[in-house]
Amino acid sequence: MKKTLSLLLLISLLLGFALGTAQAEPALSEDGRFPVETVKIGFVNYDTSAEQVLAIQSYFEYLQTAFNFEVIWSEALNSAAAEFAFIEQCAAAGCKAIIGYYNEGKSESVKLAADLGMYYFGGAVNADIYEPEKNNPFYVGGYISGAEQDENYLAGYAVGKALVDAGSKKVIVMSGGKDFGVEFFVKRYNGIMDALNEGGAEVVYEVPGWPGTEAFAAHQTAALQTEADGLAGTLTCMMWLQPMQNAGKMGQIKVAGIETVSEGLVGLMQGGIYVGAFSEIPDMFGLSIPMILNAVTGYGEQQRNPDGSAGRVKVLNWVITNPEDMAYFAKLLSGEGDERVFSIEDLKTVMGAYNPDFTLDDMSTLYSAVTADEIRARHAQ
Amino acid sequence: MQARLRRVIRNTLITLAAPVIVYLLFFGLTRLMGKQGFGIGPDLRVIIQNTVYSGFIALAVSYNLTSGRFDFSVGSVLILSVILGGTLATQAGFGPVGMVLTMAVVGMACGLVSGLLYVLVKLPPMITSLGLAMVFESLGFMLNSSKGIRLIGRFDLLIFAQFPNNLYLLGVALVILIYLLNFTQFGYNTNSLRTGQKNAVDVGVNEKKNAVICYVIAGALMACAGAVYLSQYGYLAPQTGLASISFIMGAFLPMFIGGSLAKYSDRNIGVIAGAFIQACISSGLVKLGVSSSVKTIIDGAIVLLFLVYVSNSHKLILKKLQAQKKALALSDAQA
Repeated sequence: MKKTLSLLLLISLLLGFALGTAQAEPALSEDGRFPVETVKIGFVNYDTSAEQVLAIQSYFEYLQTAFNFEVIWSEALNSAAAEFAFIEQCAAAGCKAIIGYYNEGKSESVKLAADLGMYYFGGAVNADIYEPEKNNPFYVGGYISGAEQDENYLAGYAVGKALVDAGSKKVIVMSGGKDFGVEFFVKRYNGIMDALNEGGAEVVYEVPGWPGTEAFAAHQTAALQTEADGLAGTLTCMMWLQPMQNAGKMGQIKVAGIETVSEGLVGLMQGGIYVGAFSEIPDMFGLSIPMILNAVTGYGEQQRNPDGSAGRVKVLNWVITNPEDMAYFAKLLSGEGDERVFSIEDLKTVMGAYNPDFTLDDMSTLYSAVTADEIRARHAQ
Repeated sequence: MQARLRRVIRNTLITLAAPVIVYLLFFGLTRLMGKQGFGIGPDLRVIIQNTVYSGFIALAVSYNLTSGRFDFSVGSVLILSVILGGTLATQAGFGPVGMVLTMAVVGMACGLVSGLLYVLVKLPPMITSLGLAMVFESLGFMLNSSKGIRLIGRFDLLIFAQFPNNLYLLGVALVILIYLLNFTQFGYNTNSLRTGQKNAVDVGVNEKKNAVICYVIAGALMACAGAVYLSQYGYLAPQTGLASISFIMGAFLPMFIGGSLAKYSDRNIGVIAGAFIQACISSGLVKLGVSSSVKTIIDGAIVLLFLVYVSNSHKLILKKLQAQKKALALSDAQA
């Protein structure tokens, strides 16, 4: 009798352990997606044709195979008034949440969404948005840089350092909107300058502005007449390749910039033309989906800070200095094959419906592990 | 005969005077400030490149604006013709000339749609062109998975940013335009409509047909500008939300200068002279180390001053005529 009882106890313990460790399987919709009801989400956008936005759209399509959400994409909005109007339209269309990819209305946008009964994701990196609204229960938070310094400064620093490491001594710096006082360009520029100064490289020409203007073309031509052996960009440097070829400088000037990962860059890195790229990970914005679905399905409190304020998930982006990593990341973003930077299974680990014990730290751990080795290791598990 | 020759020489000199003066002004200024390189060698090539690019856009805008039709869709025509035409040409294996021609055909088709819509719906051109700009932008956005066109590294195709290929392209276009505007019925009609639309229509000029042809020409010219842009940067991304309107911003000064030089020369040549002036100003200010923000202010001020002058130049002529009349009357009275 004792033996039988012991055996039954052991079996029940094992069963309990198995059930406890197995991933929870929540109720699914008819087509097998979570949650049962479709969650409508509004996406506030400023440039519908931006490469990053297209990549986010592609990633959301992938996530929609497992998660039951629908996105209303805004037109290219360029003012707070247009943004507010879009948020109101989303509420009327039955949206449960807003993703603030673009935010001109600052904390007012969060307030408006909350007043209309919608959760708001985004802007956690911006104190003007986060601080006034962090205790608003409808504000789910967003991501911030996992690094100690500003993300844009680090991006610039990575670009400058890539050139220094590649041996460039005379560098052209493309400063973008720095002269117009655009904050992120100023930070990137400062990062580049610090890296170049530390590495003993000299700035031989500074090119302000963007392509498509006569002044930019004139600066570009003047810059290519110098003895430069490096080009550092506070934005993409792709528009330099053709002028370099025309000026007979292709191969003589090493390039590093803030780029979107692509197959084209793989070839340029293999050819030694590009030596470095800082790239934001578009799939990072996929974080919005587990955070919103958690909030909608009753796990919102779990992703907030211990003091109840909105969660800020620490993330890191890519600093790419070799073609192998570039090729791997390009493949991940292309959507070919099953592997993604953050797969559906990865996201399930930070969703209360699948993992009731998840924490905000788990989210930060997931979204900070972005090197090629870390991604491979995660997917090998 | 001699009087005619004198008039031709005088008009040629007046037409060339403004660009030459601006060129020499910046040449002298940059030398005085110890800045070398303006207007020679690579800098002259970039001035020519900018002249060609802005010149095409200014010409395209001028064919409609001078007849009172403000066309907001020209930027979207540039984008669509480059993305669609460029894609078709590369798929078909065309060379650079074939690529430009394909783009031009797409641009002309867009222009035809713009023109027909304008004459059929009878709405103000600003409204129809805004609507079409959105349509063309969206079409460009839908092609190639929204990635636009990327020909980076296709140096065999992207030849129209190189001297003298860019000049050849502009030269061919100018010959065609000068012929059309000065030696065909279309040209006579266009000029008569520009100077007095009601009178021209009253005497039998078909304004609608003329407008459609102007839109088609503008489409072809924007496609040429697109080919130059693509050759310069190697790629062109689609734009949405009427962002394509920014393409026409650099067209105003050349167009206004072209308009004021039209009475001394051909309007097309005047526009190119204006584009050259604008390119010299841009290059000169860059050489002088003027910052981007200050340059933007200077550009705006120049356009404003020029508009003030153009709008009031007739008053100077009237004043001069009155002074002559007064002097004549006084001399008659004294006699």
